[in-house]
Amino acid sequence: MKLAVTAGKGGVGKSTVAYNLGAELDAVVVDADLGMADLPTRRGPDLHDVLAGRADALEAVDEAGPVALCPCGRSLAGARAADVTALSGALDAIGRHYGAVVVDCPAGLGGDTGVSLLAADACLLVSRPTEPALAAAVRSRELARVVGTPLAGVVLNRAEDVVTRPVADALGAPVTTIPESDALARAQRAGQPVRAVAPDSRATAQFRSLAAGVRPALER
Amino acid sequence: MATLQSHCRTAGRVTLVELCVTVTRPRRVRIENRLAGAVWPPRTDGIPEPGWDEQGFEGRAEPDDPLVLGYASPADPADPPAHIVAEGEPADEEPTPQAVVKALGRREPPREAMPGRETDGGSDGTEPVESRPAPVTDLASGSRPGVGAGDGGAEPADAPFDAWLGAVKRRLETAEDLAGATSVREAEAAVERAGGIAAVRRLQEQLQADHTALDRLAPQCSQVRERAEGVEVPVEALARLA
Repeated sequence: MKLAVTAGKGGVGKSTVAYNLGAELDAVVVDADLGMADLPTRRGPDLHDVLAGRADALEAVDEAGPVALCPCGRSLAGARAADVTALSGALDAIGRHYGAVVVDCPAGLGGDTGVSLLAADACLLVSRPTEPALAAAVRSRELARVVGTPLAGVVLNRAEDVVTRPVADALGAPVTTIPESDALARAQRAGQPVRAVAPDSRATAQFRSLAAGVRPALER
Repeated sequence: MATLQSHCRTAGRVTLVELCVTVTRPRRVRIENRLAGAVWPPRTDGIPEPGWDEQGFEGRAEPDDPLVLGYASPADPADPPAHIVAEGEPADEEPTPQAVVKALGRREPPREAMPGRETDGGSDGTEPVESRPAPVTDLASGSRPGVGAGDGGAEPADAPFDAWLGAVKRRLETAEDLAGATSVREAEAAVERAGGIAAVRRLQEQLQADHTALDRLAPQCSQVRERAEGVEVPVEALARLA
């Protein structure tokens, strides 16, 4: 099962959602944001190396942290040398070995996003509850439709007291809200999923509910 | 040609629409709602079935397998409740990553933004990316956004070649260091200097690739050298003509 986490525009908390959802689903989180990687990295092979044919996909998975990660390089040269069309094969290899894979896709409508969506069984769309972010989310939803990847859910990040029904109707998928949260900010600073730092927080409960919501779409 | 049969019935305050599309040969059809209200598509676990969107449905119909669909709407019934707005030849093949990249472009950094001859990939324990031989041909596609017209010019082409050759030399130095170890302690130290046994394995694979690339280049270098020796540009004569 491979779930792509994407967003219409950057800065909406996509990587945070991917990381915490990966923790809930006991999945490997693959940082496929080739040009603007955000998840923690380490020494050793990364997704740039995998997509340039210099490393095996399984070699690039780092199991040492609280969430298993396939990090992405930060260098411009690495981003340029990476052949994004090899992503599907890399995700399949990781999925066969580890089971669940959560893909932190690039935001927007570029080829890297399209290929990540195409390689996934379902996708999750992250947005802020603001007009520009939601307008961009509608375009991302259209991209997912064109490549034939079902939308498993929508996350409205840093959202309090938002009426979710119009968003669910417009995008055609259930909406989960993630509140603005000190616990989440603390967890991020500590390089941990929020459930490890604040298991009783509302943010943890919402990620758990999100995981329960997307699981059926991935098990179909 | 596709034919649509439709039927409406009401259940409480909701209108249920039944659709059946028949075709004489395989066709891709798009059907859109005509009712004055939203389309509530069929869902599984809250997720709309593939092919449905806010306006209607798009999918493939076969002559021996009519497309049977249904949706709900809060609007009053109308006749007809939906209509075919487009039909065409079905796309036989699924979208491929290559087709997606071609259609949407890659958001890769332009060559102009690349660091110079010194690579920035070596510090994280991986080989520098410019070490890939022959990057000029695979970046030459004009259809990609972000690839400047300067690609293929003499200046930019030299830099990756020099960087590649430099990287090969560094790999050879590491390999010679590893091969020169004569005791267990020296071998351990050499492996550590090389970045661990996994890095040594990668080094070996990379050196094999280097060997293949050098084999391919060597005869071309000889030919180019012979041509360079055999030609002299008549600069003075040309200057007089110009």
